[in-house]
Amino acid sequence: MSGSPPAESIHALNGLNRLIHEPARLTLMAFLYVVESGDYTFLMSETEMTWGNLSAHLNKLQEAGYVEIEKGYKGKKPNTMVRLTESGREAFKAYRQGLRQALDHLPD
Amino acid sequence: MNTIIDLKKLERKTWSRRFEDGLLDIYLGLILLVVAICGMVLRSDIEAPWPLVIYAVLAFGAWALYGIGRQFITRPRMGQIKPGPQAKARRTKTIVVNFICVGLTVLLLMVTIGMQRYGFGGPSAETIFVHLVAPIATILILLLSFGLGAAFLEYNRLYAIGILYVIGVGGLLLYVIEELDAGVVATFAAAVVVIGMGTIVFVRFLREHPVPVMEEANNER
Repeated sequence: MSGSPPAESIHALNGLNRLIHEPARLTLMAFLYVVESGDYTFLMSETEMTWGNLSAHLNKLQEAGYVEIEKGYKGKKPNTMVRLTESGREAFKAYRQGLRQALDHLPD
Repeated sequence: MNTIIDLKKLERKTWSRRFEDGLLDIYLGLILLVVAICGMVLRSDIEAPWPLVIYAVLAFGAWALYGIGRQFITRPRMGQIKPGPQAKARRTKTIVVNFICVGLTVLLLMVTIGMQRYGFGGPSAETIFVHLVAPIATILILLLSFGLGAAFLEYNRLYAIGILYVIGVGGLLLYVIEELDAGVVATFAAAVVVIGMGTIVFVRFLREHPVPVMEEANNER
């Protein structure tokens, strides 16, 4: 009969970045965090998203200024590389910190 | 909501994907095969520098095959990344260690074979060097190279490949120096096993990683 979670936990959960909190975008941010940049094929193969789904999520992250999408060419083939911006890295770090705090305050 | 993300594990997973295609294993197996062939050439009547030329051409062929495989088979399936700082540091350490070790091995092999052909100040010194020191040094360098490479690269199959290389190169040394014909059989066998291992990994990779369907990037947003 431990009752409801403490106020700090609820406050921390409410404060989580909802843009990053969406599971697909969270996965994308995590993969981009551990590399300098990656192309669409890398992100599709690691996250198992379709191209359309990936594109939609990346657009949202780009609008928020969290990712940078560089369209280029390798020879004649289009080659698009995606990287986290500085603010994206900071936002991801802050999100992880917030989530850790929220879960730490939850009773067992 | 329990999405605790282990970034270290994720980084290691992203790093180790480069070995998932088995092409590096196949390449290492082909190099061992090339070394076996060159060992047989060395014991034949073909004079220098042709054994070295043959080695260079075949080794280049193996490397080209590896490069083509990565470019046209692996990359369309796994994409491309620019590694982060931990991966870059790992790669640099490994390159330095292996460059030194492989260079020392080749040098030692050439010196050993050269001294056997042309003699070296005193028969007992030559005997000890050629039949004992050089082979042991070669094996130790190989063990060090593959062991450190496997540890730094976090590439566990490289431990097994290292053991097979020790068997293969050991066999080759017996074949060339002690003129024991069974030695080269061991080298060929070790090469075939490494290539076989790599091929199994490669086939599994092709099954697990089909080429993703990419729509044309026509969206302009």
